[in-house]
Amino acid sequence: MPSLSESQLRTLVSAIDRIVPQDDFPSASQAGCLDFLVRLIELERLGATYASGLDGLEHEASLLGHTFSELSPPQQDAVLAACEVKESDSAWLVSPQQFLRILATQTIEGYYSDPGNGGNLGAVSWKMIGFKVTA
Amino acid sequence: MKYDAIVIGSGAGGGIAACVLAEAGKTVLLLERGRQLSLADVPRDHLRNHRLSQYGHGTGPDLEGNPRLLNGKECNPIQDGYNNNASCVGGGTLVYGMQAWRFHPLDFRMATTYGVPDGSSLADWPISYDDLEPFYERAEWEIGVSGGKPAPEMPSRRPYPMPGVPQTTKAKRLADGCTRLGWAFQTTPLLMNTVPRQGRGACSQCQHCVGFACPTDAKNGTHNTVIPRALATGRCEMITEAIVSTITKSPGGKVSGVSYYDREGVQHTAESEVVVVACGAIETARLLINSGIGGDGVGRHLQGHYYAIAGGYMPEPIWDGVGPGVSISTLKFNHGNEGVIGGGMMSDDFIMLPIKFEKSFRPPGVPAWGQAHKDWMKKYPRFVQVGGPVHEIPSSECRVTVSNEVRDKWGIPVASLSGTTHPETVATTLFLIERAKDWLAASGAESIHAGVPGLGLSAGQHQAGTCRMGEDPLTSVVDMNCRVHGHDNLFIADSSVHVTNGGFNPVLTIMALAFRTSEGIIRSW
Repeated sequence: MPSLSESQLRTLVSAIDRIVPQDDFPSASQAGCLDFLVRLIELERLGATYASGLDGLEHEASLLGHTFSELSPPQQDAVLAACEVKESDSAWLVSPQQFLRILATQTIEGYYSDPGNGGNLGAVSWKMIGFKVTA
Repeated sequence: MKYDAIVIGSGAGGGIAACVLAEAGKTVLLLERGRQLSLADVPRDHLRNHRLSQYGHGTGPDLEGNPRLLNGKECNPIQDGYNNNASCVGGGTLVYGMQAWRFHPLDFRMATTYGVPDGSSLADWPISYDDLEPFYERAEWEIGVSGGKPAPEMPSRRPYPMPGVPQTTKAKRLADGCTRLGWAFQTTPLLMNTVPRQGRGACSQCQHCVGFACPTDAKNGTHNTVIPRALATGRCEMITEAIVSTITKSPGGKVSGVSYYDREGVQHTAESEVVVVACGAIETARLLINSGIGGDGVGRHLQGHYYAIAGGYMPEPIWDGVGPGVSISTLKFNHGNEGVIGGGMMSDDFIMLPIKFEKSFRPPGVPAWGQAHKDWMKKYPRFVQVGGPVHEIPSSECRVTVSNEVRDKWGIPVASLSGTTHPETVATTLFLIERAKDWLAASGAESIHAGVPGLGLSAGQHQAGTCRMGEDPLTSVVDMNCRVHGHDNLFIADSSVHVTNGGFNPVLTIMALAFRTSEGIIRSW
């Protein structure tokens, strides 16, 4: 039984691609961070936290009349930034601040840690910043 | 079977004790609670290592079944507050940063030099630098140190057996900074082969040093030097995954051996003429308390190191990838600092894992995510940091006790840590952070920043002080030979005995003391 639904995974991809957006270098999902997070969520038993947080993001998006994935990147950024400082809310089963902190921290962990963890395929982030393994 | 000696713990101190005793003809049982690890057991996982233990670490203790308490709150080995050190054959020396510092002569005379601040337990050591000097040299040659000449702030000494690491691009800029400031500097001494030695290779200058096992076995720990020597005598038996629950006492003040659990959880007893405890400052104190040995003084004066660190950015990339990455140090501020007590050595740093950089050095004003965060990460090759361990001003109220409620998976009461360092430690740290900033600025760095230290408990990998060395049994746990007061055949060979912990990485002092203590045991046998 996957801990996240198809629609929650769609929200997750859109959200992590604002945590590490695409520029000359890949976005979080393009570098493999979705697989990294799915594995980490299972290992660290974070399924309920992520499911609740992603549903919370969808709730915020619905107030703008869209799904989170349909919002423009600036609108998505605004939703995430609002959640970063949002007090607890009856529409959220997890603290929005805590969820944003976990989402950003763990996406960035995937993107910048070793390729073996799955979120930095081909060591793309290391190429971007100039970290080379020579021996 | 009865052994001549039982050594508990195979880290920096215990490995040496086992070797010296076995080579002197004694039969030795070496008990290590961790495992014997190969390179493959310690992968280059940037989220699970001893530099960044976000979700695990390759080298133990296992996350389940080994809790401790900090201020009453239970934590596992990778959580804040545990103050972990690696648990495996070689202990921390399998994965350490290898900095091979002698303490400064005044580090042994802190109370005489500075007086005793109110509320602190600052004291002189009962032995001096000169007492330890021959054993520092022995550690430098037998474990194996590379480096150059000592800084002018230190006494002269025999040259090291190996030349120092090359100066990195970053260190050249920092050397220019020292020259501008008029500060002396030196190559950082490392317990590492810069050339092939003792049948093992030289450093391959890789990017995964501190926190990881060495791919060329050039990192000189006890696991690849003195422990193989001990085993080669045929008189040392090493049992791994064996945790000692108590030291057993016999009438008349002597100890008779130990009680331990093997990896299957089966309890055993072993007898010996001498017992040497070397479990690290936290676990040694726990074992003595659980054994009813040593009185109220055991566990007090817990200390480690505050770190005074500043970071900044050079105008151009200075990352050259030459590992281990630490290569320049200054001892300008170990002593003689106006208005503060003690001081500390400052160095550049090991090659930093990108995710460690992200977690430790995101400056104020850079958001936690988004394009601006990604743009900041691209400055990684321009980043430079300097800093080092600050001589702690200890407090007797910073201590290890054992929990009455929480037990480990064998049922042994666990260590409970509480208290804080003395406020003077924070004052010295703040002073040294400013000097670190001065160094960076003089070297051409920009956007210099540093964290703000608060009052807390520091122990960690540099944990020390919990079985203080001294002449008076009322104020100390071991005598100047590291024999436990009142127990003729019980010795301690780890950093527990440090009266103060120096303004340096402490491992060479642990090693020197272990050589001295073990030689003393043999001499008085």
